[in-house]
Amino acid sequence: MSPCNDLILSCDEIQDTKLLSLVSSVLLAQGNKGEVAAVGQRVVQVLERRLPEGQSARFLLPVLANVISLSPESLTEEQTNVVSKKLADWLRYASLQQGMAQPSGGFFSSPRTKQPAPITEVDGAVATDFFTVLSVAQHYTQDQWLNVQTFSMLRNWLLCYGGKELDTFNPGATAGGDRCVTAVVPAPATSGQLLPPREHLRDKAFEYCQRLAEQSTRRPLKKDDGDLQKACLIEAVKIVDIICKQDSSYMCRAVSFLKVLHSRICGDATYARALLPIAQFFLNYNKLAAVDSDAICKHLFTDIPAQLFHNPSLAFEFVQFCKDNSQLFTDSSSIFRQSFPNLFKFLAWNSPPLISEFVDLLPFLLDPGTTIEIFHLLLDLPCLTAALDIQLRAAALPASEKAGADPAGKPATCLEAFHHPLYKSMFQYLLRSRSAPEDAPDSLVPLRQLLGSLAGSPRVVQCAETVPVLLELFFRVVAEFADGSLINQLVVLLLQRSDQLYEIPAFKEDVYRVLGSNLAMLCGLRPALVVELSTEILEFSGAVSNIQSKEAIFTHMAWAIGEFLSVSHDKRCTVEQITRFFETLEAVLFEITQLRPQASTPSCAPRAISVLMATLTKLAARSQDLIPRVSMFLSKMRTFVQSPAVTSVYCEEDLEEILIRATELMNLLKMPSVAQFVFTPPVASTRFQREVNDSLPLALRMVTQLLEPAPGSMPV
Amino acid sequence: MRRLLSLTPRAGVLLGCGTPSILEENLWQFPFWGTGLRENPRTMPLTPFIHGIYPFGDPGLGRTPGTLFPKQRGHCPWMKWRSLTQGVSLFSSRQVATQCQLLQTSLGCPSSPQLPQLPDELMSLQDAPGGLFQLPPGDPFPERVTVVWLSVLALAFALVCEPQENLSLAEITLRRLAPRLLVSLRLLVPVPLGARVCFGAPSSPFTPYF
Repeated sequence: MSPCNDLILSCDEIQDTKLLSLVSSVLLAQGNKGEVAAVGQRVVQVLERRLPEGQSARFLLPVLANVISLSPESLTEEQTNVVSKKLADWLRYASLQQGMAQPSGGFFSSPRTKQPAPITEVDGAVATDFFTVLSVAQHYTQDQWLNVQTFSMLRNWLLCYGGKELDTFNPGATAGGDRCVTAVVPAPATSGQLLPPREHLRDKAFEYCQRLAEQSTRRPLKKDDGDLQKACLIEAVKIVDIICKQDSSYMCRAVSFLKVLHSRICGDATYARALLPIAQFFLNYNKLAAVDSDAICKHLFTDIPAQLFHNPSLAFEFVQFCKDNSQLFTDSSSIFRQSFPNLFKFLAWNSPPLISEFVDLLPFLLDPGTTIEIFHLLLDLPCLTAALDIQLRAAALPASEKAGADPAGKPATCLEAFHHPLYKSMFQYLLRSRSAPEDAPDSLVPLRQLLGSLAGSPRVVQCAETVPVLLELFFRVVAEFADGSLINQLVVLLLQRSDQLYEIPAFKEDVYRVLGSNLAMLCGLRPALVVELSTEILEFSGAVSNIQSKEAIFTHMAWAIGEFLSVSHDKRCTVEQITRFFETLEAVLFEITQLRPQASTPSCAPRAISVLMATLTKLAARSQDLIPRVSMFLSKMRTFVQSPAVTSVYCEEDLEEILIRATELMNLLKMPSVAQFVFTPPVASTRFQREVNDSLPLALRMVTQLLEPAPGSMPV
Repeated sequence: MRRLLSLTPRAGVLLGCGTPSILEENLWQFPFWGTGLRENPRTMPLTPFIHGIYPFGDPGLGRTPGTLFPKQRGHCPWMKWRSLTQGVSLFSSRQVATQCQLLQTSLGCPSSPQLPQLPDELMSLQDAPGGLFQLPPGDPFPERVTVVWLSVLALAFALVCEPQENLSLAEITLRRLAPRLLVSLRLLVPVPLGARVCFGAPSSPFTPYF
């Protein structure tokens, strides 16, 4: 709202193109659809006419680009045809001579004008074909500026106005939401043109892209131009893709053009990023044209990640490519799915920018066939980073040093080990390109130990930080499809691998935390596994060292035993089994609650003690012969928490908590039938029942209060 | 809308978007941009995703994005534009600084807290560290965006692009723009860590627009 009409800005009367562009940018910023349409109309009006001397259209094309991205429907079909025709001319018929320098004036300036020089290519040769963005000049003419600007906005223009749908134009379309403004009737061809404007533009655009591909074969004199060649090639391939989408008659030419291009650049590492839009093209038209995308994708997924994982831009774009084509990963036999070891190399080397991308990608890689291999791979991801480091350094060695060290002796350094017979196959497995579960060596422990010297390297540490996130996601996804056999396999592996992790303390802590909580989750999914895997679980739970070094896993394991080792969860659960578990855990608890701890006695978190006590109580409630043993044990806890050696290790609150817990459990055991009910509820299938389970501590406290109405009546 | 150019050093400067005309116009009027840019369209080869530069005040300095664009009565269909400006106000330097620091760490380069002297000539940034990362929808832009960043001395530059943009080109453009922006900044005094600096002197031709 303007207070006065004189202050209202309008582009209607402005003749000067530079001023028009400045005013337009202010108007476009108003966020008003009417203003955008007005600007669009005015700009096209000016472009339609022959511009007076000194005025240049080059200030207006960027405004037009803005208009179409804000509101493509601002332009009528007739206007888009007019502009399309001009764009085609600017693309194809820009001047082949260089522009003139601004005259510097002065007393001694020559009155004669110099002959303009011809434009050149990036390699210095005189240009033999039409001007493009890859042509070089000292100074540029107006139409050469327009040529570059047209190419800049070509993709968007084609997306907006190149399509041929017959839907009617919908004035209610939201701004920017509908990229393709539709045509109802193609504009009549103007004289001198064989094709209607839209088709004419497509034709010139295709020619331009072919020319760019030719120009990209030249060796540039300046490095900057080399980068520009690659970027323009990528743009050209994307434009060709759009052209084929809009007019399938270009398909044959495009296919042969892109095949030739692909075979030219596929061996050149500097052009690797251009392989992605080419592969995308062949994937897009896989079914249409008799186009075989398999060979191209095979090369892309097998060779590129293995050779170029260290290129962060390529890594990012490659992963985006995978996400954009995620539906192709659903076929488990496809090259996409089989290549996941290669894909993880990108993450292992470039962790910070790619972790969020892999969070999106991981679910597409997981299925019953790949679960186990990916589990191992995730746990070994920091090792992969270290191995990639070695691989890079080994490749950089001069040939004379590459001959391996003495195969009989042990390698002195990681680099020597890379080719050493003892380690070679382990390296090769870790650095494989394709999924190969059957090739897994018996153990990678020696390799992990060898790579321990790199555990502190910053890149390895950054990678290690991504693993807990991915592991958590891994379990969440796997829980959705895993059957009983797979869950059992995972639990066994989880317990095994807890001993076989890369030696980075913070990494191991975090991994244990994730493994522990997900172990409990898996047991909840399939309670019967406590019985089925009793051997492995007993072995793990019986090792006292586990309670200290892997407290998170141990605690959750002990909890799961208490929760699920019962007849109500598995009919095969016998009294003997309950007793066996009881005795194993009792021995551990005894070991860690000695009144005079030895130097060898492991210290452990108070929570572990609490969980062990609760588990023993739960087992005793189910096999009531064990009650006297537990009660006696619990009654000794008072002495334990008061002993001087222990008070120096644990803080007062923790000891208090342990004592309270012991008391509650003991009181509960005084009423065995109540204990049985509390500790062995029916399998929680309703929300109410789950709430009962969650309120166990509350239940314990209530029972305690019932039994001990007066304070001070603690057991002796 | 993805044409945002922001400087995000350990100090922070946010520059926003306008139209290419503003960029070109003001580049010419700024003598220290040099004539090279004026004459050579290939230094700004594919500019759709750089629409321009305008000074963007830190809300803490009294300006908010709302005051940059007059409020519209009634229904404003321009959610994309408006949400861009909101995204601009929320886009923090934190993400770029984090990525930059993580890359420097992984390369084993110590990060120096001091602002070194800026060179007088335009320097080549071929080997300057940089990278790409994505921001998910809602954080802070309503749609998914890709951020292209470049670290130069103690500053970082970021270009926010839509996901389907030509990212190779974005990187080239950033590397070519950054030296010119550095020269124009000409930081004469060290900026305290965490401070936000506004671009635009009183004599700047930007100011009439705001």
